[in-house]
Amino acid sequence: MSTEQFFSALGTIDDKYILEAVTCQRNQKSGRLRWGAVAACLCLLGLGGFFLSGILYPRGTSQDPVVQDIAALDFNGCFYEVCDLDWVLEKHGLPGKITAEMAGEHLAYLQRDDGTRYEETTAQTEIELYQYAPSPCRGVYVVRDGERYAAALFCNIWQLDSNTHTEFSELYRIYGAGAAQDISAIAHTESRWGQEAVVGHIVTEPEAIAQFYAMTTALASYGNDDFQDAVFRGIPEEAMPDANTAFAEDGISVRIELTSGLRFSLRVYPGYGWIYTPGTLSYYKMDEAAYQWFETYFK
Amino acid sequence: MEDNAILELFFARSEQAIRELDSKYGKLCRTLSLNILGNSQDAEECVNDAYLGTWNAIPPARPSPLTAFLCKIVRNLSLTRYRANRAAKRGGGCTVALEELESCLASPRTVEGDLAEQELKRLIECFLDTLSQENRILFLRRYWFVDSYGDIARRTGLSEKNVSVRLTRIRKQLKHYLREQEVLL
Repeated sequence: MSTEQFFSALGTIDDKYILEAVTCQRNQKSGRLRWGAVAACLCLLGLGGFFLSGILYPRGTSQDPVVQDIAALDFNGCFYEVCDLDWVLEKHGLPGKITAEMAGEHLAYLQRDDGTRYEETTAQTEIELYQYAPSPCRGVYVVRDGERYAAALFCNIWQLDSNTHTEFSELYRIYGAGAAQDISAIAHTESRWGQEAVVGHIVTEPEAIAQFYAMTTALASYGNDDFQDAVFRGIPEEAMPDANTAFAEDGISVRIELTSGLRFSLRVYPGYGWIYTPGTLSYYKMDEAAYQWFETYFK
Repeated sequence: MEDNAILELFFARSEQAIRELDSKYGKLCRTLSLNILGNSQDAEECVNDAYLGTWNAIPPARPSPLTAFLCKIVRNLSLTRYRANRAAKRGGGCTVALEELESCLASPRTVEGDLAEQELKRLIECFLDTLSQENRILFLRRYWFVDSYGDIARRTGLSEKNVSVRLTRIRKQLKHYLREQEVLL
């Protein structure tokens, strides 16, 4: 066996090994707020990909390690991904296994479209979408595909174009949170060696949570185009990759846990004064209250 | 932009997809290619070729995860270019990493000179599974992404010396493993 033969074969290994190596990064110090260990690894690279690696593949579809089909679901203007991997479910605050008892109200029948995605159908099929009985909301549904149960995890709202944006409060509503009292904890998280860990203390004080809720719901939202214009305008094209990287490295992950147990995350860029939520594909410009909150609780 | 949103742009045949892809993964791709080729002009061309390959592949492909899909294309194209450069005696960037592996792989007494790639891939994956997560990442960063010891040290927070020692041990483990599997005699 030649070294090059080994080197070539190494290039074909399963994606999970590559993602693990891409998403690792040591702690870095950065940012206007001089937060301690910031800049976790799930910045621009990897977060979506790492998550997507845990997708449930409809039986009979491609398992090719390079080009894999996504068990995606479009439902009510939102994009979901269907998954039954315990560590992904637990990351979203769900039990490690989805069972029949968790299937609540029937919502729709689904069919598989060429194996890559589920879609709603008027025909009665063996694939059904249910409310998640322990916490009925749009943030998570239960999918029964034959005898197999999985969760449909909310990914993002479909935006009409690259400049459409959604208010932050809509994200809370999707997860069934209508008031600050529905939030149980807010934590700064980071990932090292692929594992998510909480940095510092977890904010659970009702007053702090109430401030956070009021602050986030008051933030002005921006679409991607307006955000790009506000942050990167005037930067020469050749300098853009570095500018994008610098922005990504400024970001920290903030995990919001609800009293229902469900969790979702957002990205805060303190050095630039922006918050991004993958769920709304929108950016939010930090105001003084936002700076103050993060200074106080995540310093 | 989220990978899903980038994929949608590809499916809509919007050239913005390439810009978003470059914005998000350009640095990763260029670093990977540069590590292999040691020449920024060649690396730039390989990355552009990889973008074109991605444009041609999506649709119909809907790769998940997009990161690994793109990295594999970049690595393959860069290795092809590396071999061509070496044939033309132009040198390259991954020679040192290859030489390191030489000591545990290059034996005239291999069982099969042309071990099937799929079988070799399976063996490599089994070997990777025997490593701790930290060691697996070190191995991948060095021999998949062809990072220098210094880059790995900065990324992991370990010292360069520590990286070097650990990689030496991992290579020994690899040699031992391949012997156990009777790939090397």
